[in-house]
Amino acid sequence: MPEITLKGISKVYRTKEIETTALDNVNLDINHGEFVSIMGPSGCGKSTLLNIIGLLDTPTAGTVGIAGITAAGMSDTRLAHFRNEHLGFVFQNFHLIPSLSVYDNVELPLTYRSSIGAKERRERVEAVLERLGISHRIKHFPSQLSGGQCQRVAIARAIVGKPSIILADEPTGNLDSAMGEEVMELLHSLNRDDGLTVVMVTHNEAHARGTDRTIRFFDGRIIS
Amino acid sequence: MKKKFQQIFYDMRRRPVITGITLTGTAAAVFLFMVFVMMQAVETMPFAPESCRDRIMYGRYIETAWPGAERMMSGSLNFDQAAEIYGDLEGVEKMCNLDGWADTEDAVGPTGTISQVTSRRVDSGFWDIFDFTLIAGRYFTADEVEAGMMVTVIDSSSARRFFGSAEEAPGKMLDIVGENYRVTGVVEDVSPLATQTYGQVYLPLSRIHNFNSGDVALLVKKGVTRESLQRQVERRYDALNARRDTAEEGIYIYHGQPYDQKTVSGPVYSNWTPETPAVDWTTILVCVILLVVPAINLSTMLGSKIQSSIAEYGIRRAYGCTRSRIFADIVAENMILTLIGGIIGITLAILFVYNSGSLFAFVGDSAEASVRPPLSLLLKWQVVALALGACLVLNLLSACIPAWKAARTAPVDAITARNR
Repeated sequence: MPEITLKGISKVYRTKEIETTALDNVNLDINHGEFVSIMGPSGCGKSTLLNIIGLLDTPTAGTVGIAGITAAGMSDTRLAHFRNEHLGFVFQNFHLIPSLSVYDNVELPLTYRSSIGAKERRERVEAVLERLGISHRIKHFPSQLSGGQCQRVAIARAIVGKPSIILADEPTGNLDSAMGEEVMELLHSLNRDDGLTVVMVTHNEAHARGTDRTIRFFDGRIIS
Repeated sequence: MKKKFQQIFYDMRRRPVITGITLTGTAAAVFLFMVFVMMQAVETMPFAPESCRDRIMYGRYIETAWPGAERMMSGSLNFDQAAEIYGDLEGVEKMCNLDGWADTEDAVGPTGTISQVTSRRVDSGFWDIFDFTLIAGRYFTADEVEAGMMVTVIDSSSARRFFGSAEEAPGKMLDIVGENYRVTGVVEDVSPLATQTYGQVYLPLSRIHNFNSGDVALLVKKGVTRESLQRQVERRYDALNARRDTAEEGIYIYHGQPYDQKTVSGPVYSNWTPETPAVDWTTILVCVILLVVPAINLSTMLGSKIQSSIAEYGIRRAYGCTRSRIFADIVAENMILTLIGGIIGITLAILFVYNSGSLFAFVGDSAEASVRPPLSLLLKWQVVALALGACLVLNLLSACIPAWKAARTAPVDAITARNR
């Protein structure tokens, strides 16, 4: 059974003057453990699709299924819990919370999960920071880190809750090529070693070639 | 909680102007609110020796009118009227006679120096109702008052002025308006803001030396309402009037006695029924304005601060934070900031009120002097609770709308700040 199922997804942005179709009847299945890249020109709807898969945005039409559960009709609270348990996000500009230390940023998803106590939270955060090689920066703040370190922290935050899916929106877009390669290697290792499903939006052909499947977008439609 | 403080300190560093204005605005709002509240509280809040203000009622004045004739007479109660109208009322624990007005009189000590003192005439029951602190000697007794003995209790400042110290004063003679009084005791100074009890020398109020009894103070039992006493007193008026020769003696006109502290803190006249509305709308309106106006400004600033970091709330929501928690977090963070501002505001308010005696020129016998309110009044838990309440209201008024807006922003809009 696919890990992610999109059926007839459309997204239309309406203002008083204009109507913009960002996604037009998108149908897509992504299997568990698959590493999928999404490519296309700017404004073609890639990020909108990722946001809809991440349940951060709602489609104008169509249904989203994650891990066999349809998101339609879920309350906001239920959606929040669902995202917390199943999804991890990595953004182009990291989106770390500047007032929080590396430790606190990584701990964030766990603080919204009442089933995990403080001791387990600490163990998990320390383990994931150790794995990503940034445990020496545990007390630092985002402003004290390099771009590559920030993205590692963001990935640590994405995986600390042990989600089954990682959604990465141009994760190497703000990094130099060496750092970009390191981040890609990290995502591949999470996919390969941990069996995580990874969906990545990218403009980088080389990075896309390294994934299991590349979906190409144009004007809100999948073209290949 | 640690993270909330972290966030606040981060905001202070990142947006020092907005955070500074928020803190200053909050402090100023709480300062103004508390100065206003303290000015009100000084008239009604209990403090020594009027520590039971909520249980003390006053019988004051009596008016006589002749029906059909344009003739009336009003003034102080005499001893018989006081006893007949207010004696042995149900629900009253203790009663005393006291002069409602303090007088300024010349006093001459052993050294011959003439000095003006504020005197108040009271009977021995006065010491049982009001909690003075006796420093030396003793209070004058009922026997001494009834016998018309020339005795007096003086305050510690007067004791130092006339006799060098409080301990030296008991037993010594003090000349007050040409009469020699023997000092029986010395009490701690009383603030002129204690409008019903303030005095520097207390003289016996007795039938022998005084025609009128002045006022009556009643210490009522807990839970006894003013209304229940009013009903009894009105019945006493009716009973007295029934015995009077209306044409010759006239009838007593009832004016809502006994009066509570709130009533006597306002204007009370002998031929007029004072209005004591259950809800003081003017005070409430001023309080609301003092809180709502700054709250609107603070709310605008908080809204702009939240918008500048709206992506952060989007990220939190992406990782599982619910709307209600976003709302609660913003309100809680703002509450901490409001409390910090509130503590600054209340501290400034206490210092300002304590050092600005002229603020209280309108209160009772303090009219001619700059009066420093007792710290015990300003530091009462009720005052602190009011300040905290003001902070809470200010916080809720200023934070709720921006917090609600932030919580309602869709995660994707917040992350991409599309709504800005």
